Amino acid sequence: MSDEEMKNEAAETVEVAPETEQGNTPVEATRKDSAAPADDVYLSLRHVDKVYDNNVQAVFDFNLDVKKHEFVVLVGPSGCGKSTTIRMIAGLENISSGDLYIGGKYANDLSPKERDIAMVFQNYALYPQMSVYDNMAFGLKMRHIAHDVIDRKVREAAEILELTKYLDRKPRQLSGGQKQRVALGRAIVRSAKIFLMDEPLSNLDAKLRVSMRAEIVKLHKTIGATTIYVTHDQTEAMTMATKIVVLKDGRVQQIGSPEEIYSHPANLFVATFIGSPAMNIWDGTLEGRDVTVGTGNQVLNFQVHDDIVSKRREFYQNTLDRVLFEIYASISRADKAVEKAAKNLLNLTRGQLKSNLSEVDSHQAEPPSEEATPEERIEAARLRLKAAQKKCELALSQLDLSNWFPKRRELTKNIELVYAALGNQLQRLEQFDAGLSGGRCDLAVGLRPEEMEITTVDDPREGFESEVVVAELLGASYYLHFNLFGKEIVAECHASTPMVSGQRIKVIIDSSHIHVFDKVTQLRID
Amino acid sequence: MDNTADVTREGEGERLTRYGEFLKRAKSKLPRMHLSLKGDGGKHRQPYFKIIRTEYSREETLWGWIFVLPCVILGAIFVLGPIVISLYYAFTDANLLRLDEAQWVGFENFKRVFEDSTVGLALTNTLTFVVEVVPLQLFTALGLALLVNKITHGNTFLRWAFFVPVMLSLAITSMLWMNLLNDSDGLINALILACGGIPVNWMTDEVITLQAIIFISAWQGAGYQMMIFISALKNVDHSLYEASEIDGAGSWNRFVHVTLPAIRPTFSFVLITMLISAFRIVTQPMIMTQGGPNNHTMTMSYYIYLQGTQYRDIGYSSAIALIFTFVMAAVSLTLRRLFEGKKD
Amino acid sequence: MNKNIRLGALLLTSLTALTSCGGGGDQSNNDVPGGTVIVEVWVHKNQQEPEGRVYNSLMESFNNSGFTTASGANIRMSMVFCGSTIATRIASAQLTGGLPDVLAVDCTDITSYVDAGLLVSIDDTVTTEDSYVDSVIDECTIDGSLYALSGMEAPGGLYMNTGLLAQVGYTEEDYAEPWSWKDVKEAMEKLYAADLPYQIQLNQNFGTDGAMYFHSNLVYSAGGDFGTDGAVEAALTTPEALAGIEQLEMFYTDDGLDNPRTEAWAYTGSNASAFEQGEVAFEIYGPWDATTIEKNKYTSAQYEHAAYNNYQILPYPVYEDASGNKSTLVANPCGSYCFGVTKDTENKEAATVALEYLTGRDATEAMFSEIGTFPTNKDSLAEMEQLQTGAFKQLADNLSNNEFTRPKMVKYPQMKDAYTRVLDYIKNSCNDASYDLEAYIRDQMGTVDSAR
Repeated sequence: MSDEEMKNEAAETVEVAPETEQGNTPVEATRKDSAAPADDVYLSLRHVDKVYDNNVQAVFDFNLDVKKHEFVVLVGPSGCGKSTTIRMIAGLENISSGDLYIGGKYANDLSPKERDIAMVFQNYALYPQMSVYDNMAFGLKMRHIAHDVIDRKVREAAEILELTKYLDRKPRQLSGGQKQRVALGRAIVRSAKIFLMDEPLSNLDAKLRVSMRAEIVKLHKTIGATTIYVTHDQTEAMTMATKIVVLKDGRVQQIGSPEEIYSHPANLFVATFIGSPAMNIWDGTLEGRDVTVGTGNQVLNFQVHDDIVSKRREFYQNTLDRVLFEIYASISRADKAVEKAAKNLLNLTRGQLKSNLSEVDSHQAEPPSEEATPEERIEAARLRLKAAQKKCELALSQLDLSNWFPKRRELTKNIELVYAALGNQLQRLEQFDAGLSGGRCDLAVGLRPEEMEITTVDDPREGFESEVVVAELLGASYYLHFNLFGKEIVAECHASTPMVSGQRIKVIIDSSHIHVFDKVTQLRID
Repeated sequence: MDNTADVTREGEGERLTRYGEFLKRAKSKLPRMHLSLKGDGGKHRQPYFKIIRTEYSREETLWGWIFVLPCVILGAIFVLGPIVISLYYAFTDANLLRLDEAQWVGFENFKRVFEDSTVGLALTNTLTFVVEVVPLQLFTALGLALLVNKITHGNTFLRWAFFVPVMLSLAITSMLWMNLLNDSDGLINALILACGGIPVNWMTDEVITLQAIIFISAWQGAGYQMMIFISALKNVDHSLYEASEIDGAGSWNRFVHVTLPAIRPTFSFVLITMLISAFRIVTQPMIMTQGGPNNHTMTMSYYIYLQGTQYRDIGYSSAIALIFTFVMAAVSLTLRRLFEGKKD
Repeated sequence: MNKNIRLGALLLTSLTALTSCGGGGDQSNNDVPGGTVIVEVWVHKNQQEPEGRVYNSLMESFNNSGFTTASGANIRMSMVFCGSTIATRIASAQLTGGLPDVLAVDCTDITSYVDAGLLVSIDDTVTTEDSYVDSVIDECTIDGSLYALSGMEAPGGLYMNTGLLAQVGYTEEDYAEPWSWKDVKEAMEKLYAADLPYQIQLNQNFGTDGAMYFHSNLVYSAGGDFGTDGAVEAALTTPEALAGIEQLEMFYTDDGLDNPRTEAWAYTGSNASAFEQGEVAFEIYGPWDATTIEKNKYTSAQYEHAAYNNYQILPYPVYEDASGNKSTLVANPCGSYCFGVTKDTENKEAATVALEYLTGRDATEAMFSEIGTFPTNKDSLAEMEQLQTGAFKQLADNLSNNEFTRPKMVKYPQMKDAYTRVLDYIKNSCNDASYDLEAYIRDQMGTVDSAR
């Protein structure tokens, strides 16, 4: 896709939240291919989007294939679109665009009943006036199943969940954990093909959560239904899932098994989200093969693989599209803001501004063709960014000159915002250019707390010395807070030797455990 | 739990002690009369007195009475008083213009009640009215509430439109309908004629008149209950609807198993209040038909009023009122028992 | 101790929140030369209403006229405008002895008030009773004693649209004598055949007493009467009474109509100005339509058969028996509000003076000009300009030498309701197979008799 097309598409993009520092780069650039899923895939979502009435997009291009008997966990912070996604699977929300296949059948237009799914809600959603027995039997009654069959199934499920002696109670006579088990029972009894669970353990206390986690996993092993589980707790995701989907702001960040996600996080967000305590992140620079972390007297130097070096150019080339997409989006937003300002100015000054703007435009170079090299494209983008910045400056000075007129402050603020954004983008472009050309580029370097070895100062091995600021005792291990490479970080160590704050320690780091991420795109470099 | 925080707890950190000190100082500056609910936390007990094993704080009781006394006195004079006096009159031959010459006649009034054919008719009419208007109005209100809840466009207009009849006084709507239902030149009959039908004697047929009044009452009152139901419906937990949708319940099943149980308390409240006000109906018959074609829209309240203030027979009307109260109480209590029996 | 005193004081304060000012001004009865006697009057209207305003101005002019008692004390009138609460005020006042000196009372209530001892006879103190028309004296006399006087009358009659009647051949001579009901029906049939408005508006459900006020004469003209307390059933089931009441059947029957479903002899619509606009040919009504037709004369042109300038008011139709003999007992609807002196008056002489002023010539003429009720003063009737021509004259004629036809009974309220039901029965059921008027009257009046 040429830059011109990309620019146009960026201009048409649905407005989302204002630009954040970390890029909202889409996972896949292509948009419009939808083939029917493969045979062993039971649940499939292809390019699913969700846009609400007020033009707020909650889910962007969600793709997921779930095989039978898998336990998939959608995990992410609040507002990342996981509940929306699961509700779309359930049929409680309309799918704005994209396809949903359940059991090989196209399921976008099926009602929840026809999809043969069972759902467990965060607030249990038990029918308050019915007994536990009736609650569990309700779904079967609605499907006109015979009485004795219902009875058998309900009692079976009750036994599995140890609810047999509560069958006659009403929900308000049950504790939270029991209510959740009834909700699970309601799902099991139906022998549905897919189980959907929307943060079922969030309303329980910590201890109960731990035991219920194990119960759900056991249940999954016993019954073996395909399960989609939504949570914001990464511990639940790690312990229960066979496949994890990490979401942020409506976009999928990474899909993989818990081990993959833990050991090879695809971007900075996944790295810091998964794992408790969070991964420690430093700023670093990469030049050739050398990575330098920290300044002053404590500096970490290590070398990356040759592979990384050679792959680096490839990596930056592959990610160029994404970065440019964002840059052009930013430019088009700036253009719009400037146009709006120009429209609102009074006639006299408007003419002046317009002529200045058109002068800037006329000096613009031709957009690069399809076959242009990355450097040329970067150069073109750089020029365009600078031109856009000039336009903003012109507009700002014009607004400054004009006397009071309505909306002046609002327009000025808008243009200042986009101007700042343009500045950010320019910075990132420079960094990216540096990365691409092999020059010095900025990195984010990460190391998990568990992957550092803490010893005494007398240890003969090579390491970094530091002083403990806070030592948190958990029982069998410590979380030590100390300063390293200019930042306060956390490390975990065994509690065999007691630690107190102020104690001097030595940290031994194995550079093979270090994760390296590009600062601009936040993606992992490996 | 103690309300007083001047008991400092050692070892809970500096902040708590300081706060406790501050409170103690502040409390000492207050006037001596303080409204502590449970006393000083064990320092010394407030004076109390006992009635059948339950302790009552003397001070609390006094304050309680101070607040409640005006209301109790007014209630006694204007509510209990008339009831007692009416009870007395029911056993006398009191006449409105000669109340001081009331003579005791024992159960003569009550015997007369049972022999009076008009009372029988009035009671039948009233019960018919109640039995027909309550379900009609209730389910109209519920239906309208469900409808209005679902429609998003023009929602405010619909709510207002349905509520307007409630804002009009009963007297005005009675006259309005009297005009509409006039035998010869009312709008309704004109429409029927235009469609080729036979005009109906709305206000002069013995059976139809009561039905017309029932319909008009339901039409007027439904808007009010509709508002109550709308707010009750809004409080139903959405996830229950979703769960039932996933369980495979269609709209009817969702209504029966999720909506109805959720608005059950509101429903029974509305039912009881509607019932009681339906028993008291008097304005519509009084204005529209004055008791109707041959007493066929005479209601108990109207008859009591007629006998008491128009015919000046206070003794007799008190007797009728007493018997009617029993009937109303019986019906209401039975219904409440029925409804509460289901709750367990 | 301090605390208890404080609490006690609070308790008392809360109780005083209940105290409401008691009412009851005391009446001064200082019947000595130079003293003042205050006569308290209760009227049944609010001060803002037209009638209330007239009473107010009457009170003021009375107070400025310097009336004195025989002993030389000044008489002052004070008025309480009770509006619709007058019934309850009377009921409670009679227990406490707080009734006023002069009380407004409806003519049909006089009997029961007298029976309860609320009104006292003014035979000994009244001086101007000869100036009142017969019907007033009639309605205010119970068992031979005068208890009240009235300053307003409401004479009624048969309104007929002569314009319409002229088109079917009626002339001026036909209006010389009172018509009978059969005459009326005959005229209606002629109009019906000629496709002109033919209906009669009987107004039997008018106000609270329409049936008795307008149609009690059905019974009298036929030679019957309403009997006395406890003997109503017997009185109303005599052949004369029955014959009289039955006359109404000819207006509710379906006979003679082409389309009984949509047509009727009697008007049942909701237009109060039906006669004025020419929608109906006949009307039994009080004096008010005469005033209304006069008032709306400029807008009458738009109605084809408008009554303005085209109507007469004849006396209430008389009874005509099977052989065509018309009864000579002519009586018109009449009777309105009166004033009486109550048992709680402290100075009956002063009260009667005030009463006579409130119902005297000045008052009655003021009433006529303000609210349209007819004067009860014989001289006024003879001398007032407006009453000498046209419809007003006819009404005045109906009023002079008129008899008060409504029965004087303690159980009048029950009776009037029963009579209303009887007339409604004729209206609703006279075409039914099970129609039995005599049985119905017996039933209804039996209830009246057995009531306390």
